[in-house]
Amino acid sequence: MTASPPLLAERALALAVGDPDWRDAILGDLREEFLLMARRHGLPYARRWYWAQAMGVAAHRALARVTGTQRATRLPMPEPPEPRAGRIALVWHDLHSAWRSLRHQPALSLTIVAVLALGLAANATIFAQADAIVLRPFRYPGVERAAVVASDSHQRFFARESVAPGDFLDWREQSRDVFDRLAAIDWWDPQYLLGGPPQQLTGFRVSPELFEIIAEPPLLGRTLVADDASRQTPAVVLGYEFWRRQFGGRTDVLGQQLRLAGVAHQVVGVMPASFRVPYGSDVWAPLALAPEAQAERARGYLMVVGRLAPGVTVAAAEQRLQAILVQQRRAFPDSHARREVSVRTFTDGFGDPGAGPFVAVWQVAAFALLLVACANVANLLLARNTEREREFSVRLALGASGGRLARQMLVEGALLAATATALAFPLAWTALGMMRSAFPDSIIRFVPGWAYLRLEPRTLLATSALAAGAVLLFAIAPAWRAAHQNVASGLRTGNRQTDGAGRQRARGALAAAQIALTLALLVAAGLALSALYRVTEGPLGFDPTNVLVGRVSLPEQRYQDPESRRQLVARILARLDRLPSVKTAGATSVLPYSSSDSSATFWREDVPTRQADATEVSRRRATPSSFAALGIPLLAGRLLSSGDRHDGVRVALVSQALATKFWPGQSALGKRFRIATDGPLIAVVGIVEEVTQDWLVDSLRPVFYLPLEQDPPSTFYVVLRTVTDPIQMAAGLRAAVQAEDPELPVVGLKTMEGVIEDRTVGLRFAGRSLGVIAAISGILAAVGIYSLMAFLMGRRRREMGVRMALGATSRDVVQLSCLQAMRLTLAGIVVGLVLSYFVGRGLEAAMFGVVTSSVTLVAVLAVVLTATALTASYVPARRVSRVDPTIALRSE
Amino acid sequence: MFTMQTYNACIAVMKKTPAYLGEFEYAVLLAVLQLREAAYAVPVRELIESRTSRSVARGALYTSLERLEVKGCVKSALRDASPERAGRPRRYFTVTPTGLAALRTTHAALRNLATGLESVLEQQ
Repeated sequence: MTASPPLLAERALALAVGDPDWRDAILGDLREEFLLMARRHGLPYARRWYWAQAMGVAAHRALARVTGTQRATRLPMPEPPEPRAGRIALVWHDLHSAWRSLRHQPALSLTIVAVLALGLAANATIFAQADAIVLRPFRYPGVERAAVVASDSHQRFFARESVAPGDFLDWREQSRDVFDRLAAIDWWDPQYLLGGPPQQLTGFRVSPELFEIIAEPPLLGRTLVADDASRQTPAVVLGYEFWRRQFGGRTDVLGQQLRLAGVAHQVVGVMPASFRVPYGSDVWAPLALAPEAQAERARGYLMVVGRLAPGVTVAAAEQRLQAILVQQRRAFPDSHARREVSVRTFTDGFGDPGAGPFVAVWQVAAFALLLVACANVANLLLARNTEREREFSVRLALGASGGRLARQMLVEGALLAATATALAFPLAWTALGMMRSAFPDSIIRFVPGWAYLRLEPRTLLATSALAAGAVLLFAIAPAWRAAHQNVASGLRTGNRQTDGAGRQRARGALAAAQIALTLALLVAAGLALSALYRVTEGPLGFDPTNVLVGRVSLPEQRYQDPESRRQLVARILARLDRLPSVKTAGATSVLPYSSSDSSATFWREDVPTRQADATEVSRRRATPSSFAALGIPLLAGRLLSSGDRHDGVRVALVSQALATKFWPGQSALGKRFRIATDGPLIAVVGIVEEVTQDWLVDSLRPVFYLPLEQDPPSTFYVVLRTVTDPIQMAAGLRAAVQAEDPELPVVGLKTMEGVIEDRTVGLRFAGRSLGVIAAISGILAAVGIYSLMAFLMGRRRREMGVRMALGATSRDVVQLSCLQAMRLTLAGIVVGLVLSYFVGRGLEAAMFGVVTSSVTLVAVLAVVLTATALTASYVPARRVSRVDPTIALRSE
Repeated sequence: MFTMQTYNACIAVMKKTPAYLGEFEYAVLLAVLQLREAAYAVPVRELIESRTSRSVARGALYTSLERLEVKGCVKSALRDASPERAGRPRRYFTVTPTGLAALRTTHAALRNLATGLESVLEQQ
């Protein structure tokens, strides 16, 4: 058996040595001696010996790398004693000399501070956003024990409004061991009349327990209690903004009566501005489930929030509810066969599901920008230190230790970073202000945590930590270099020395890293912007120009009868049609880009109507005129007509996607389907163009349209196609509705283009901010390459002079330097391409499939970046090549 | 015709004599010279140890050899890969003319400094 040295020690040593030639020689030597040792002293001794030697050599190599190999060459000389007055004085001394040396080159120092401040500000801004919207969007007392329950499986888009009232009551009764409080929440947007035009309020009906689960104390009065629902005049709690807006913040509002949705309510309390549960709201009223609602099992529309009993986890609570669901499946096989139940933490359940990945993309981009900034600064510092080589040499020769110089470099770096951090905070503050004003209120209401979008101590802390990390990143290389200084050659040759290979490699690597990161950022921004372009400029399936829309919600009590709703819609549309600048007026239950959708189960005629065989599709109800008003083209068959009455034959239009999904390879016209197990057959009479419902969801979801007359909804959108500027018709639309019912408000009066704008604002913002980050990074990288090449060329003036004196043409010189830049750039591009691949993958995952990676885009960006880098390197090369060789040779 | 070789020659001419050698470097160079064709790290170390009666850390020796090579005082070649060394070659060093010049300079300098002190230095 041949003895062999300990494998681990060999590996560690190999790693420490690095250089393959030296590695082989050293490992070979040690092995040779190891065998000798084993023969003489036995294997265990030899192994111990090997470990000691390997570690010794490794430590030596590591030390040599850090302190520089010149340590041993230097003639031993006593070092001047360092200031002995204690650490504070020492730090002060370092700071003082760092300040002096930075002041010595103000332009360079300012550039470095500005570059770093930009990178840090980007990070601070995004971190503040992540903290507010993703990490801690809810900061109510009790939120850590609050949980959300839904009749839905764990999906990305968690359907909160999915619990049937009957299920809620079962759970509240049977899950007391896991939830000590369970509350239901229902949407309730009541109309409110008080002089002036009727207003549409936003509000919720909630179980009073909600105010125990989220134990935020009221600003005035009290919150809801159990018997509020059964009182003669139901109690109502006001939201802060509504209270300020409507009552001027007066305290005597308590006890006043308000007519909400036609019913008198008594104000019992006002909540503080921070209370936005589940979303920002004007009013909270007690939820009273009518007996028929209590029995409702099939239709789920409640949000359910609970407080976990002490010591109970979300998973345990979910298990408990799963057990209840098993019983319910037995009791209600029809409605519960495919029902699910899941529990999430409050933050998870009510947080914005899209925000996490979105913010993660930004955070990564901001971090990459900071890395580019650090690489840039490191290069600038390296370049500056080359100028200071002589200074270092003198100091080393006079006895300063390499460590001392390295420390000074670090202190200089820290001083730069501290200044940059101080500058970054106001920048981030401004950026956050811009961010807050970039989003419309209609969106902000649904973005939890928006109120916390500000500079907070933890943001300041995180940014400072990042700045400290940045110092390590950009000051380590110069510090190492300073310690590594070769004193003899530095003194002798002074500024005439050309760079060592190692230093050039370091600088080249830094420049290449900037190129790589910039390419990745450019690709990210390019992908986001092209997605934005597709979403906003791509085929919509309808024509949003010259269209005005407004939403009308009918109070349940007065419009319970479908016939009354049917007539109201018909009368409103007839009035609007008479207006001179209106081309067509229509009504529809679901508006494209309105973020609402309604779905239905779908069975083809030849499929058995079992729940298990149902397919979920989108259901819309529309008047015949609404297709013309929205400009949705008909592809085959006919549109709906006024003859398709509720008492006549059931007909529907289907989207192209639905037709190909259910009747592939054949015409869908004349085919029939059902949407309820016992419902009538509905015949397809026409196929219409695909309408992009929302960029957030799969745009190719199958859709069918029923005549609105057959089943008029209680909330519908009025759509007007106008001849003139649509917004001028807003008053006309409002007047037409109120002429029919003076208590009916029209909400969200907007042009269709405005609706799309609001809905895509998030993506637009994401795309643009990525664009800004990438542009800054691009500029930094170009400046980085330029300054590197300018510096290298400056250093090589003499060499170039020699070359030209010996017959090289100025073209040769330019070529030589451009080749060098080209090598760096290409190395950066190759790494950048790899990064881009992952960036593309990440974006595809984060942005809901809107983003599709494009090879062409990546290629174009790579070419553009290469061209920029080459241009940046050409300028300094050209300058050097024009210098008269005799001057260049004599100049230093 | 301007080539890289002419350029390097120009640079080489512009370079001056190498640095003054440190004590340990001096010893290493002498050992390499002594060992002639057989100078790789293992015997170099043994030679220094046996002749100077001082223990030599392997790490220090490798660092010193590498530095001497960077300075152009020695050059090295990889050969004699044997199974005993798991197929890894030995790195043999030879002293270059530059190294020899540096050795002479240092040696002469020390000798000059020591002139007249033989009686003190060579006691015992």
